[in-house]
Amino acid sequence: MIRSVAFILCGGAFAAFAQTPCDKLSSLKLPDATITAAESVAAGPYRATATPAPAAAPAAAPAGRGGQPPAPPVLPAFCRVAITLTPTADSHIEMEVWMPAENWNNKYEAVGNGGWAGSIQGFANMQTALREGYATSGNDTGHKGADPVFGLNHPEKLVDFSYRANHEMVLKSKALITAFYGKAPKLSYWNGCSTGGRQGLMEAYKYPEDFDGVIAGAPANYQTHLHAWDMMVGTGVRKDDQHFVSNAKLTALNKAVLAACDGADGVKDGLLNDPRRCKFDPATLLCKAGNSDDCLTPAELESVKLVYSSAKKKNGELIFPGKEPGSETTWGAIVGNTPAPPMLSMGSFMYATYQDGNWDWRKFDLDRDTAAADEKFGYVNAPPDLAAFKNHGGKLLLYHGWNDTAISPENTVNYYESLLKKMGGKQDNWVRLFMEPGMQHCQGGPGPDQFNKMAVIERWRESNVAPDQILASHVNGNNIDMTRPLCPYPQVAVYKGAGSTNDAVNFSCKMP
Amino acid sequence: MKTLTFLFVLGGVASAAALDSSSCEKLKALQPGDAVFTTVEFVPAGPAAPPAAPAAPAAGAPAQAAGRGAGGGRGAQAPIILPAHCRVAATLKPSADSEIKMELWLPADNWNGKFQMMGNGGWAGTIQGLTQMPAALREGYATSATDTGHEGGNGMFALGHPEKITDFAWRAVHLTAVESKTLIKAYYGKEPKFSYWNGCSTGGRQALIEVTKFPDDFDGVLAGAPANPHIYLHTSGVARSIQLMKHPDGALSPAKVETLHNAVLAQCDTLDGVKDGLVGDPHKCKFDPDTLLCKGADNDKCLTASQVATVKTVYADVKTSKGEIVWTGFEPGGELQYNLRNIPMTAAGGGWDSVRIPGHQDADYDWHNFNLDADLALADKSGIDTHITDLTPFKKHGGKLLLYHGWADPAIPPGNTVNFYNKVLATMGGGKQDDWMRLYMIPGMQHCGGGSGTDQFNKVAILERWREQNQAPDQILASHVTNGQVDMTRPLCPFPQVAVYKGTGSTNDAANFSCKVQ
Repeated sequence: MIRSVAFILCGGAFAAFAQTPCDKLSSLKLPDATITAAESVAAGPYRATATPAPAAAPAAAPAGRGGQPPAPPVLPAFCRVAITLTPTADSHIEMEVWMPAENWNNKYEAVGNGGWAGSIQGFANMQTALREGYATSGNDTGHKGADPVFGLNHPEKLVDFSYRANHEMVLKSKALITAFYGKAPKLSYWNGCSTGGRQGLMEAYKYPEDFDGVIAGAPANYQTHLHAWDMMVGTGVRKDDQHFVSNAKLTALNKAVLAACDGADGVKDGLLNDPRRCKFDPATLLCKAGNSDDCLTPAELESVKLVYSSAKKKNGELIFPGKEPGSETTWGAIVGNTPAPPMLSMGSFMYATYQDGNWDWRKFDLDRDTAAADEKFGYVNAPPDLAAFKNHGGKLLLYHGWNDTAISPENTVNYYESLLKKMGGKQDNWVRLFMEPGMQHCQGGPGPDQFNKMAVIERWRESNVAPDQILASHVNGNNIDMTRPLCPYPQVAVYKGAGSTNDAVNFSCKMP
Repeated sequence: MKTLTFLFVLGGVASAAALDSSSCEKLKALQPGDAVFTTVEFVPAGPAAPPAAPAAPAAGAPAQAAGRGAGGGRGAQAPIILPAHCRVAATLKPSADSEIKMELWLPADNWNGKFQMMGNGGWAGTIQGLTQMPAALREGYATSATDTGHEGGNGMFALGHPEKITDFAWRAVHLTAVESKTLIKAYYGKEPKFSYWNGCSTGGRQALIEVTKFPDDFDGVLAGAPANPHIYLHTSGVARSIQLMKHPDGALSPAKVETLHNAVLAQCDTLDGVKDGLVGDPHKCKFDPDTLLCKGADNDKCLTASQVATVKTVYADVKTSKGEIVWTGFEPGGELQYNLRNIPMTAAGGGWDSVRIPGHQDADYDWHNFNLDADLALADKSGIDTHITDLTPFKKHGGKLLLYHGWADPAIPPGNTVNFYNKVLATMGGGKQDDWMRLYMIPGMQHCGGGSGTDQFNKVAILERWREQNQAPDQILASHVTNGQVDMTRPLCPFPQVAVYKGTGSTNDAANFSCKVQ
């Protein structure tokens, strides 16, 4: 790393260790990159000079220590560098690096994206990182707009989205940090959820030396399989209008699930510690006398069962698991009455695989189209092969909410177990998975969803204090109304039997 | 006596099973002698009715949040779903002039066997505890609160009503506790296993009165930011205010307040080893306002001599002519909320009411005649306060007392609570009382909650573990929330310990701090 920086700076050994003032960074020569801005930003309320996100961009997938502070955020003084990366002739990756002017903690924190990216969604998390003293960066993965149409006739942009943009960003960020401070970051961390979780796993797999610690929340990995499940259900509920399920019925279904299973973990709190143990039969809700909001018609029951079910190949091989009991209240996006499955899920097939804007989702065939996507677009998937990352000394913190209805949580359990299978059963000195009861996609829901992820992984990597349990909070309005320990999988939080069930101290992590 | 009667009447109702509406109805038959039930109704599970708007809040005396951080709706909250319960509203009349309103909610299912009573804020005058009772009910407590015997958040009720003063001082709280326990026993067939008090501000004062006067009422007591002694707090506030009113040119503009605050932080923020906008121990901060005196022309970055005097007055202890501290001054660090702008405190509803009504019994008493020594002594004769620092009976009862106060409290200067704590230690012989009483001073927290410090912690859960499982709170994990996101956790430490940064890791994560005496 240091060597290449010295080369880039053209000044030989001295330059590598000299500090470069912020406004002089623009003269830095970086391969395949154009620095479009290098400016000192004074401490105070920050208003972005450029509009970071096109209107169509989805909300950033929240990662790390929480979501977006209200605008305009108050930031400490920092050096802001905006760069456009062009690793191929067809590439146009926009990234920003923010480096604190004072009190740099000697570390680097990269933040991830959500969905199909298409803007620098990490700005909110970069603000938090900057305030805590990190040099931090984020990028748009090489295209503008959340629509996967960018992939049409742009194979290189699909590669940028899949893994190249992030890795290029890391190289450039480290070079800039080294130039600005006169020394390379002591430690580097990845912090992402959803697509950001996939990006984290991809980095650990493909570029194991990029990061010393990786936080991968609700990873959208394998993306092709995730979207295959979406298409299986998306086509299944669109057989006819009778298969859509209303929100009122989903609420009734959720109530019935909780009535059947909530108490099984010893605490009646609207949370299922391990929803896989809930053996609720939705057929018990079949309408007996006439249709109502409290019961399901046979067609609706079919849809409900489909959402709970895994996508499997004809030979029985698992493609992607289904949603969990307890998560029904946010199924509207899956079984609600809309004309077509979401473009988010179709994109992996329509554009990335078949390169065909007229691809007809009605003809989706699970076996055939999953195989085709794996063949043409499989490079977007990060396989569970992290021996090199482990050897590098990297720590991997995985988390996923059991109430996630965007990305089935059991998939992350499967990923984790496939890691153990590949590398041997005892790997908890470098990888741990925290399944969060009641948490929805990356955050939200009735379960405690807030914990200081960066602090946890840092203590693990830097002080060798592994997270045997993590304290998490649930916030209602601006008030914390529940704390619970999160437990390393397969342990669960078990009530000790006395004291408030809203206080983490009255729970302990135990094997179920 | 009363308890026996109730038991007799209800006979065999006591059972572990869920209680239905008829069990609630039966309570009606238990009309106690000096109380009138206004409502006895079974409330099925469902969304809570929004609490009635409190009476017009008196100046400087909002209803104070206590307990698990219910802060009176600072953010959008999901509607609270209440479990089924029996709701009793009653009016207590211990004297001919008394009119004490109370409410008691009894969970129909899953009663945890305990009683939790909520306190008031300011001059009370409504059942302010109704905002905290939903949280307690959801956790399985039987829970109650009172309006302390008058309507309206000011001191006018005390004009010509000595019995109402007694109700406000201690009687309403004590009788509500007694009545609640009686009804709990009647409803469930057994007394509460444990009873807890949960109050802040006036609720903190009520806590200390209960502990001294009725040490058997509660097994555990939360006393947050105690407005105790009430008359001393109010009279000292009036004295400070009048001092400021004499120098109208000493008012600070918002820009100058910010200059002052920044200067305090520049000198004192990092004394605790962490630059975080919090002064860990304000008593270690020896900030001299003279350093801000304008050298040239007046501008936003400096203070005039009169403004320096204002700042000194706000930081200074209020003392009698003999030099005894009536109340401590405001602490460095909370300047953005302090009254540095000479807002008169003689308006109705503020501390002035204590001087003119319980004191002089004269609504038109002229503040020009105010004399700290004389007016303090006169108002104190009203009997609102006890001045007891020997808490031996409560200790003997097995009670636990958890005191807390925000160092940046802009309503009740927190040094007084440190002094109270030290006085109890001195009275009861030696320093080692931490098996039943602990004080947590919270950096950056304002009045009962809010501010830039970590203000949220599960107070009742902590007190319970201490009382019921003998696990004393050696440190308490507290959180700060901004816009629905937890952005800082820190340990709160039993005084005189403070949270010290271990030197590595995020300064926003409690695990990177430990409690130490510095």
